[in-house]
Amino acid sequence: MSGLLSVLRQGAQSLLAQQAYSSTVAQNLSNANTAGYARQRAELAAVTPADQYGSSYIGRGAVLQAITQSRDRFVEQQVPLALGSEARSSTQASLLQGVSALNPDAGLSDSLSNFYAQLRALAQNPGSPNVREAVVGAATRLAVSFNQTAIALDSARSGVDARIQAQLPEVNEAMAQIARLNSQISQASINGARPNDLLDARTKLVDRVASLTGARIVNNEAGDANLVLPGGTSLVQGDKAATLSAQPDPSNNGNLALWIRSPSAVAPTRLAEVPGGALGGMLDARDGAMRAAQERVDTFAFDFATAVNAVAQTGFALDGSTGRSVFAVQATVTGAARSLAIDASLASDASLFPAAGVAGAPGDATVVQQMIDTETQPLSSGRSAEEELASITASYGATTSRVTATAEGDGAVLKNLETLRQSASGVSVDEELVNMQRSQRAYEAVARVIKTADQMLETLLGLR
Amino acid sequence: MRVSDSYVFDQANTRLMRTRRESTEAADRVSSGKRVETPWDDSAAAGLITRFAQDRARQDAMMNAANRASEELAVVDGAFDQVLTAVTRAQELAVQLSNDTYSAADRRNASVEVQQVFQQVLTSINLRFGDRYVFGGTADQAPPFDPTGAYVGNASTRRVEIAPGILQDASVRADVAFKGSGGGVDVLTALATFATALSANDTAGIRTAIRELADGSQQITAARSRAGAMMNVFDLASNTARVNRDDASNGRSQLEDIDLIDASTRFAAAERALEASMSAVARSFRLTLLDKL
Repeated sequence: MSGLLSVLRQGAQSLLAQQAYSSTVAQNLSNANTAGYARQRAELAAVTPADQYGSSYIGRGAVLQAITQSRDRFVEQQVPLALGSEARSSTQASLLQGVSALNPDAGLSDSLSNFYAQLRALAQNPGSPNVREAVVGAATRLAVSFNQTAIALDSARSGVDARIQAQLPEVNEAMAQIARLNSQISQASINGARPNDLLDARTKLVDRVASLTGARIVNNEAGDANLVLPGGTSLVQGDKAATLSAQPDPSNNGNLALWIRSPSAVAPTRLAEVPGGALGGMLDARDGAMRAAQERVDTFAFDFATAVNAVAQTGFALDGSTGRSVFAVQATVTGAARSLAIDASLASDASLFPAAGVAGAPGDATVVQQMIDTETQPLSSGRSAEEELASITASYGATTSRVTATAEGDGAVLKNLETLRQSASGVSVDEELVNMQRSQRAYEAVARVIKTADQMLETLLGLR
Repeated sequence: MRVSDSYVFDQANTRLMRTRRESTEAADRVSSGKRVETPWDDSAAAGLITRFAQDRARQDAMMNAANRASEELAVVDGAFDQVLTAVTRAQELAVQLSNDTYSAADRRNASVEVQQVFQQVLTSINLRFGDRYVFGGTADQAPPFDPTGAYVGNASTRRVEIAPGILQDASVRADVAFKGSGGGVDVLTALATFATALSANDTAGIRTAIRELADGSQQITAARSRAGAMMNVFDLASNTARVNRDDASNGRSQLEDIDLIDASTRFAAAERALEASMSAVARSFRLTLLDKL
């Protein structure tokens, strides 16, 4: 009698174990598309110790021992690094490709060639009011093209600042959440249990922070996920998180610089390293190719306008006046392209264009011809105007092309790691359905055992 | 490798996005006809395209300048022709009226005609082409000859660029051609003196005019020849610039434009790949245990 009751107890316990197995399968199926979720396994085990009958032991059924996660630690360790690298290069490539002002058919190239073409027409007929107006128009168009190119590059850099500002709250919130989860996971693990859902949530956040900052994970014995930037700056340490902020940098045209308040610090300090991830990609684009292009366009505008003005100032207008410049260019290189304009007096009176080498000779085009010569004369870079423009275009294109290729390579590495991660941790619906069938079959069998034991008890109780 | 459902769907997404992107890029290239639209499509080519564009514009400007110079010289040639015709008529009158059979009245009547010839020559050499008086040197905004035939232009010649850094004279000196600067004949003064001689019935003066007008005619013919030679140079320069411009265009086109056959083939292949990718994805989605249990 007591043995049959034991079978009933055993059956009840085993039913609970099979229910847990089914629940785990259901959890897996429900989270088949949940980002960061790692499939779980209900680990069932025989109940020990078994009952002893004489010299033999009879088992006491099955019990849920643990619910574990399927994770490949080797792959998991590499994923944040790959996320950071891919985000850095792809963000940089995407931002650099957003600038069209340096395209071969953009306005600056056309305006420059048009300016010299109009000068050539003026050289042939320097006294003509119509041709003078055309030259003044071409010079104005060229100045505007320089302005627009500079504004486009400046806007692109300012746009990066706006993206950095928009990204920082998410980074800070994610780091704070990781710190909180470190604390919660630590507490939940005290009794040896594995808080799988908290671990999943933390892994997802770590991936996000790694993608945004390039941070790498440093696990400690307490099970905390500590995050440090590639240069060693700590972002998350146990249950404490740093806070990132951005402030204008006067030494970098007022563009934003990153500041950090470390977990243990009271006041923020300027971040001593360039982070990785998307933030690093933004800074790379802004302070790399974009800044170089902007500086080169400024230098180009300054050198070009200065060279043309130097010739123009020796020329004479139709009214005999001299010493006049064609372009109004500022005294310093920085910002020269953005502020370049045509001389105000020329804008209102084309007859003042200094075309002649001597006064009172409206048909003399000596100075115009000298202006034409500036087309092939070397600027401060050692290159002529058209060579400098071609060099700026090619240099920007080469950087963008290289970064795009790097992004494709980083993307392939990340894709491979994600495939490996999915292979270890992803949910297969087919597999779970098979497990569900397995669980159902076992549940039915245990239920049959209970039913049979009940019948046996009934038989026993019916004996008279 | 263990295959999860996320992997299946992610792979499907990745494949479809990649083949869709490749198909769209191939279509864009066929429709735009351009291989290089941004500096990162081919950075070296992008730089060269900019230089070819500048070179094309430069050659185009020089070709236009040469054409304009040639057109102007053609107009100048027409003026020389008119002047030579007029001077020849004056020469004929000088030869005719130097004969003693003509009376003083005949010569006074002829004087009127020579004065008309003088005005005709004056009109011809105060020629305006476009915005400028072509015989004024660089003082070209006012008529170069006043009503008396005095030259008020200057001795400068205009020069036009026919190749980078190479300039070619594009005007003749009217003070030399018509006024005899540097030891020649002042044709206008000769005509005026001839008219005066006719009016005064001065046969010696008329005979002097025959010689001066003949020398003047040769002087103008020589200037006309120089203008013709310049015109030839500009025509040649125009042709050279046109060839250079076309070379620059071709150079740019070779770097920038697609090979249409190659691009069309790539587009067709990309479309086929997209179709195949879609079919494969659709079939992989159909195979699930869910439909079998």
